[in-house]
Amino acid sequence: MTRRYEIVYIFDSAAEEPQVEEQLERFHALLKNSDNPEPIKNLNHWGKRTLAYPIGGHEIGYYVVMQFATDPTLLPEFERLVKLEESVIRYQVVLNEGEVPVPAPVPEKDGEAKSSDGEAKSSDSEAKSSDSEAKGSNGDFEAREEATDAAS
Amino acid sequence: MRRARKTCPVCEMGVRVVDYKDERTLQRFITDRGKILPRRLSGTCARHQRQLGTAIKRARHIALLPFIRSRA
Repeated sequence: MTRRYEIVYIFDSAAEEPQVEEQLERFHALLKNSDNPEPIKNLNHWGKRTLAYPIGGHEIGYYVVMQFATDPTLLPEFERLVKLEESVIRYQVVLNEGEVPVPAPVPEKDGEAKSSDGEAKSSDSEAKSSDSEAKGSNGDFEAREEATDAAS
Repeated sequence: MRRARKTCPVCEMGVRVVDYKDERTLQRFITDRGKILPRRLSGTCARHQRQLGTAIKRARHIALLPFIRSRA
């Protein structure tokens, strides 16, 4: 039985693209078996991105996202190898049984961006008004929450 | 006085499943400190709030979103 998964690798940004390809090749060989000669469904290089927080001294990572289908029994060995590889600074395997995911974030069009901005604002003000409403019963709690926020 | 029921912003976007890789959308559902916004403030439905929680945690793990952000 095969299941669908999705993995995100973050490679050391010092690694060049051919090196990354070579590593991926090596990892992916482990996912194949006789029933399933073509496990990889979708491979997507995001390229270099700034990390939201430093991981092991790295500020920038090279992202690769892949969808694949494989037998769950092959995963532990695959993950072991990925963990051992030093040029992979982080990875995440996720079960992907739902609908087929949309490929990577697409840059929004100008018009669309504006309308969604307006939407965000209106929902913001809505949130605020409900906030003040909540103060009646919950004001104490909220004030405390803010205080701890400020303290930390 | 009763307020009109808030509608879920995720439903309004027409999204069935929240994607953890879409950090621009997720950004709307965290505070400036990086905490997950409560339903009370964001108005999301229960299903989407659950999905958002998972998605934000996944996005944090792959460094798309911060765990905490210090105030500038």
